[in-house]
Amino acid sequence: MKILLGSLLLLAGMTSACNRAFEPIVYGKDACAHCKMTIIDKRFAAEIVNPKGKVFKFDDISCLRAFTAEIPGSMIFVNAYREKGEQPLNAATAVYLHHPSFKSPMSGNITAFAGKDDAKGLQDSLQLELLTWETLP
Amino acid sequence: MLFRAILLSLLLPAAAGATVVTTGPSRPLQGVLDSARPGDTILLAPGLYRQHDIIVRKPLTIIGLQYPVFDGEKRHQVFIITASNVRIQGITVQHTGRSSMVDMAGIRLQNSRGSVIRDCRFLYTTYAVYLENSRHCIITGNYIKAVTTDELQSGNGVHAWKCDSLLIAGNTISGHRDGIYFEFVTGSSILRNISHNNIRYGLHFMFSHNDTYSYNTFRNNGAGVAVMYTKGVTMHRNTFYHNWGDASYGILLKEISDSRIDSNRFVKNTIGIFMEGSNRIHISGNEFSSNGWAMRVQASCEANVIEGNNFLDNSFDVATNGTMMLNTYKGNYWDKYDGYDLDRDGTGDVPYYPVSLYSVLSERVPAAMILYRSFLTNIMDQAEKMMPTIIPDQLRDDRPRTRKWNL
Repeated sequence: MKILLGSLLLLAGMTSACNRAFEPIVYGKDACAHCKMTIIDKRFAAEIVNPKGKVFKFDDISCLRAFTAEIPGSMIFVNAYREKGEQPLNAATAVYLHHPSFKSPMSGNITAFAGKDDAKGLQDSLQLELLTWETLP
Repeated sequence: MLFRAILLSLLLPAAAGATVVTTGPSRPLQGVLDSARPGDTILLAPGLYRQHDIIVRKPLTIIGLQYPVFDGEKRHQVFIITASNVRIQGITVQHTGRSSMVDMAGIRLQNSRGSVIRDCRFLYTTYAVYLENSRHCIITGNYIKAVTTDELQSGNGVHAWKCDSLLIAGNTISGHRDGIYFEFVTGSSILRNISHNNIRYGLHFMFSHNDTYSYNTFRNNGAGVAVMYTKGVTMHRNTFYHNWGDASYGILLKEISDSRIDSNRFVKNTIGIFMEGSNRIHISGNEFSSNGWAMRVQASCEANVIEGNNFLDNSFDVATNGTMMLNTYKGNYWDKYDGYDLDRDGTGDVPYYPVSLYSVLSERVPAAMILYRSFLTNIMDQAEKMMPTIIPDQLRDDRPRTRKWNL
């Protein structure tokens, strides 16, 4: 029994520990690790790859922030609001806007952008303050 | 004479209100609506109306004859209702635009009271009916259909935001993101709808209290119904059929309390009911058949009562991820129960443990599913039933039924 469990754990460990990188999200199939909703909106999706290489996917940046398990040392990715989600951003270097009119799946309403220039149009039209990973609500 | 004058003065406004205007595709409808008086009826002749962003600012009745077609040409919204007591009936709305900032709708109701949308067709709209800050509105008998491709920017069939006392009844909805979506909607009823082949959920509640959904069918959706961050929901006599896939459930309950789930049928779903952080829910008189897991009750749930249900042909009856068990199971019929009933009162004499060893193992190590139904795991399951060591031993039905409930 123990041996069986052990070998299964080993097997599971081996398959995940090798490469630590962004794992593409299968939209319409994968579930959010925090709220269990199906991830469907590319504009708000995010992902954590923890130090062991385990991947947690989220449908809303606020879900990622509410998911506290094992964040230190993790790689954190956020999708850019304007992109199609193929090239995720590093959460630490991205800039953010926060406004109710974004209507994200879990009402976190946080959007990510690669840099100040990308965010500028929306920022000006909604008259928002530019946020960073540290200053997010 | 005086009597006659009074009678006339009483009848006159009524007669004036009953004006019926007939119009066709060649005339701009906006102009007709603007020149109409409140209470008038507008009849629309059949045909293709290449008109959009039509704003209804007065209480009017708009009736289509043989489903006249309004086309948004994939760039625009079609009807925007800003008045109360508007009635739209028997029209077709198709091809609304898509935009990342504006939710484009076939018919949008803004701050409306007592409006009715009935027997309309919505084809390939982003959002079919979009209710904003509206009360006492009725959406009934509509046929709503969009394309089920991997178009993930699609909107919801019926979308309600900050509304109260709505009635959503007898609609058929398919191919949208969520069939029906409620956000901050209270005191509303969802009855006899068929919501199928939607990308995410058949019905989705967020922060929407004291609502009821009954007699609906949720079939082949990404998941049947998601009820999240809500209290006081009554779920009654619905059918959850074939909601199959990785993150798929009949009902997904997340942070729900004080609700009722009764007399529903859960057939061929990956998971019948998934519960997380949910309290004081009474689950009774339901039938769970041929599901992967009938119920997955996470350890964060407490004070739920599961009684008088039938569990038939499920791969697993109940799965949980902890050893604490603060929920009550009583008087359910479990087809896997192999105890006895010596006094023949219909209640088994030994408790039934609905969580199998194997469901606990697969909860901890999902990859262990590969050994499901192997000889060794069957032996382990049997041994565990004799002397529970891994399965939560408080999770048991002390009074399992030996005969099926007639539901």
